[in-house]
Amino acid sequence: MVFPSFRNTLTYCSHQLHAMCQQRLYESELRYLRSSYKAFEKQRQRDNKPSLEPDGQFWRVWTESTIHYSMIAKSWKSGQGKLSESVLRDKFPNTWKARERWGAEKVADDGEFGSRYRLPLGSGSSIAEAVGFAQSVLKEFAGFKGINYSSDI
Amino acid sequence: MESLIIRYLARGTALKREADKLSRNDYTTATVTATHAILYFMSAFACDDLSRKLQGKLQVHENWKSTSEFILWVINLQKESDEPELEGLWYSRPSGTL
Repeated sequence: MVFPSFRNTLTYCSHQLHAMCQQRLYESELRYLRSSYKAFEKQRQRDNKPSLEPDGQFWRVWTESTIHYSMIAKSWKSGQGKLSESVLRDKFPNTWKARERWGAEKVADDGEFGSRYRLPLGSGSSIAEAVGFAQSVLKEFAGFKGINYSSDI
Repeated sequence: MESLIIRYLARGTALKREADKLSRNDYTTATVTATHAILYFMSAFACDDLSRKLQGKLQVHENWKSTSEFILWVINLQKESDEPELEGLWYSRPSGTL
């Protein structure tokens, strides 16, 4: 059996986890920007000014959000490009077999460690699914490499 | 949910420390351990987000930022020493890790 190199497996799994984190960051920034915008608009109406006057924090978050937006796409591309469905099917058969299919009912709530997942992971996946998927990949990888890995919680 | 968050964070932190020690001489085991830690952190922060959402509060930005940075550390750890530098900042190996 030809196993993908170390980097070609866990690295690309890490890229997918990175994409999920960047997505959470981005969503958090959008919430902040929406909330701030409303506050600035109220202030503008109170002061009867012609335009909004966002503060430095608003622009800093706005700038960071554009960076995170592009990082999400970059991380997904890096993660899914090499850890493709065919690689998963061939090299991680247990992970592949345990997957749920997209279109199924909601498979897991956040906080359910090692829960079920749908493949491929994507922007519609929950954190719980990403964790479940990565845990399964880790388990198979560690087994192959002979590393003592316990998924206890 | 609070106890779950605390448990996940405690386990994640312990694994992160272990990965840090392992990273000095065993990259493979260090990466597996660090990735395991990441899964605990992500679970903890997802619970925290949900808890805050139910209270009508915004997420803690720093949670996902620090997890993101830790993942980049793991990605850098996995980089094989004989590979050419790829994609700029993601693969800038910290000094002293060759």
